[in-house]
Amino acid sequence: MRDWLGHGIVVAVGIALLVLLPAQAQLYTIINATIWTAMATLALSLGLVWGYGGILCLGQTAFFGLGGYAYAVAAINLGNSTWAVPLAIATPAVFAAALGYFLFYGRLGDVYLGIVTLTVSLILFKLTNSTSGPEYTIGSARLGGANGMPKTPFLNAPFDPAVLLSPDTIFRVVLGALLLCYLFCLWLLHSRFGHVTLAIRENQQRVELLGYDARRHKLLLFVIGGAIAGVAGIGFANSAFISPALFSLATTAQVIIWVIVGGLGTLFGPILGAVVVQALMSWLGTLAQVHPALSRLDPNLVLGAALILFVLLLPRGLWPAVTSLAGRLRRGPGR
Amino acid sequence: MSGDAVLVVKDLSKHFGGVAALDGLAFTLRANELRCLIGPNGAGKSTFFKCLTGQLTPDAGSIRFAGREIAGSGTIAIARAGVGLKMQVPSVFDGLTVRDSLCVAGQRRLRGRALDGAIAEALARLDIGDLAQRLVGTLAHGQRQLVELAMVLMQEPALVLLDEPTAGMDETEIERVAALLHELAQAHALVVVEHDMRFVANIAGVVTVMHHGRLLAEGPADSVLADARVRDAYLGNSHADG
Amino acid sequence: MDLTAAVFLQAASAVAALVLMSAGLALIFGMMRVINLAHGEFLMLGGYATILAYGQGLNLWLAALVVAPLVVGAIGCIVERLLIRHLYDRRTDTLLATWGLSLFLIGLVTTLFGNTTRGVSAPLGAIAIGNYSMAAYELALIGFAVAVVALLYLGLGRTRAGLVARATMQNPDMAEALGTDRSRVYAVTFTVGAALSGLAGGLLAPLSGVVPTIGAAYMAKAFITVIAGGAAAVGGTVAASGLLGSINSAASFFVNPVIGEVALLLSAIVLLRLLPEGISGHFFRTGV
Repeated sequence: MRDWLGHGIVVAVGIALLVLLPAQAQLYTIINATIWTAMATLALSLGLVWGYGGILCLGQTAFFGLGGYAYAVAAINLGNSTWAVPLAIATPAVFAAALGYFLFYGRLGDVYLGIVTLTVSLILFKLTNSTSGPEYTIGSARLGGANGMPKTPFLNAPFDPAVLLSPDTIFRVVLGALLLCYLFCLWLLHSRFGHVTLAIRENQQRVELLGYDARRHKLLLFVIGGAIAGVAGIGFANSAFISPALFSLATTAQVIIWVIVGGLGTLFGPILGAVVVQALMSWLGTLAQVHPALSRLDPNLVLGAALILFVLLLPRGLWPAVTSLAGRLRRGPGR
Repeated sequence: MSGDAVLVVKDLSKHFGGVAALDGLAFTLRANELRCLIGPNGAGKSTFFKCLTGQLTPDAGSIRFAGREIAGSGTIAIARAGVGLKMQVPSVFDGLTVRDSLCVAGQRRLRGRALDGAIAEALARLDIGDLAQRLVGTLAHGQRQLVELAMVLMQEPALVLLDEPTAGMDETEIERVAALLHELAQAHALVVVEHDMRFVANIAGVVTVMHHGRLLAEGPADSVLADARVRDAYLGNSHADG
Repeated sequence: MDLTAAVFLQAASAVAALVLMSAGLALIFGMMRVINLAHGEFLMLGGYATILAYGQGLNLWLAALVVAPLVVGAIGCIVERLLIRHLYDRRTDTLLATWGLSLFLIGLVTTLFGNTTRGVSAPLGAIAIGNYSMAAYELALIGFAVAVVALLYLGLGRTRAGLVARATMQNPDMAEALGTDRSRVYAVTFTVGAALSGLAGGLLAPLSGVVPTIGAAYMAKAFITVIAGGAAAVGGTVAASGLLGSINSAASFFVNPVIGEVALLLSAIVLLRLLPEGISGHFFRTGV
């Protein structure tokens, strides 16, 4: 975490992409990049809560989906995305506060916490999946059941619903949001709050014997994670499609895989993992068109094998491997 | 060395199932007193400590610390009130450096330069300055004990409870701890649970002996250790089993 | 009167299904504390083994009662030796690795057999209960569940092997000092757990058909049942299945099946909040 050079490089690359990519790339690439950025934000939220807080939240997608749905419902009802954005961040945050209170003040153990959070996401999946009929609306927004919400409005210029943002601008906004969240997490982890959070991850009992209310710290961290996941949901709503799939087991599995592959316990790792794995899946998809036999190769097969291999062989993930390699190179040959 | 009573325990009882771990224990400690607590296994020493730190709620009795009743209060409240615990198996932050651990321990009360000063002082006092940047998880057992003690001291507790502080230490470290305890007693009240009788004889003023959850004997180290009842308790000659 | 009987039998059948789904996991997670996120896939593989064997002309009962457990038991043995064995003290890593295994198995089956649903109609036809009719197969499930529970109870509680297994799980070092081969006990227990799951998958296949992703439907319920049941593999699972299965059934009947599922999940969460050690952590503590 004292690796300012690493953080500096990450932020610099992010800013470069923000400025340069839209000019260089086609629409299809921009939209894909926006989706990937939204997913990377989701990965970051889990990386914060799990990697630094030690909270095994297997249902981070619950907050992601809530953010997406809240944005869509609010934007449709208000006809204006300006207030939909804070609403879409507040909704999963409030939900995280309630769920977190139950989890941390009830002193539920690790495994149970994971199962409960997973179950919550699955409950939301089942509920949204069953909202197919026209009677399922919130205000004037149809929930659409398994088919998802039709016609989610794009972001518009603040307070001016007539001016819709272009895909280029939306990409910049979403990437900008990711950068802001990243910097915020960086700041948070270096603050007093962050120090205590890390200590809680190491030994909650000792932290409480030192006089801190560990439950409150975890709750706050959990809410922050939920809010960041909500931001990801907004990004996803503006580049892809709001449907129950946001809450599904498949999505939640992917987020966890991204964090593991990228590096649990780092800030950039989850972001890297999200991009790398999604790029890999995309590439496999194109491969299938080249070699027809490969089209039968199911993506789950590859994802699953990758996860197994990482856990067995590279349990710390990609980013720590990169940074430690860089560290060794920097110290020079012959040390 | 005497002063007002900082800890007054009366009639403390705690049962687990049918077994009375604490059975009407009485215990008084003055400010700046260094007390050793000894007793055979099962005497109730750990249970007593857990009641003092708030990890357990006693079934009956009272614990008054610095004038306030703390029996049944939670761990966090009691820690804030000024009770520090150094556990038998070091309870530390393996993934943090020694310096960061001390930082967490002290930052609730101190900030900025005052915090840095307090950390430097704690490192010097326990002579672990050269370990400051090491990860606690990589340290030897005896060193981890010292780190834990340093963390507890950063809390500036009025009462320090130490559960077998010299377990796993070598001769030099034990001597360092003995000297440190004497020094600490000038500003804190201390209760030390120990099994190493030489260490007990070396450091203590008053020794309290527990047996079957209650007070068996109390007095200066040499007279207590020579007491026949105490010997019997350790050798299991009294009623029932230990 | 018939309505009561019909509702009761429906509930019993739902409970039986839960018991079957969870039995294997009760051994693997309840006893061994291995978080096997591929449990649903073990059930799925049992279903596929049954339906494919039946498709080759084998009698359906043989396919479900013999082929399925043998096939999945063998797969379980391989998985234990190659993967699980390395991760026994690493809980989070086990969770992730078995999740990877789950995805891998789903992908493998999809690649080999495609992702359309395959089914076989449930044998034994329908039974009339007054004015209502119920699939006789669902009633047969009750019988099978009872048989599995009896088998587990006797196997764990009354045989030497069962005793050795329980001792090893509770205190592996001590058991080793007394001469048991810890590694073999783990391997055998995991294999038996997998075989049980395969059996359950085979028995449940005629009711819902098989598709590579059907494991997900079983997984959450099985896990929740085992956790809610607590440490006792048999007693806990039966108690939890009874409670949660009844709630599921009642809610499905009086509202709709989606709410039934949601009710099951919610009640499990509430149960865990009240009894963090599961049912058998607070009641029947010394049971099997």
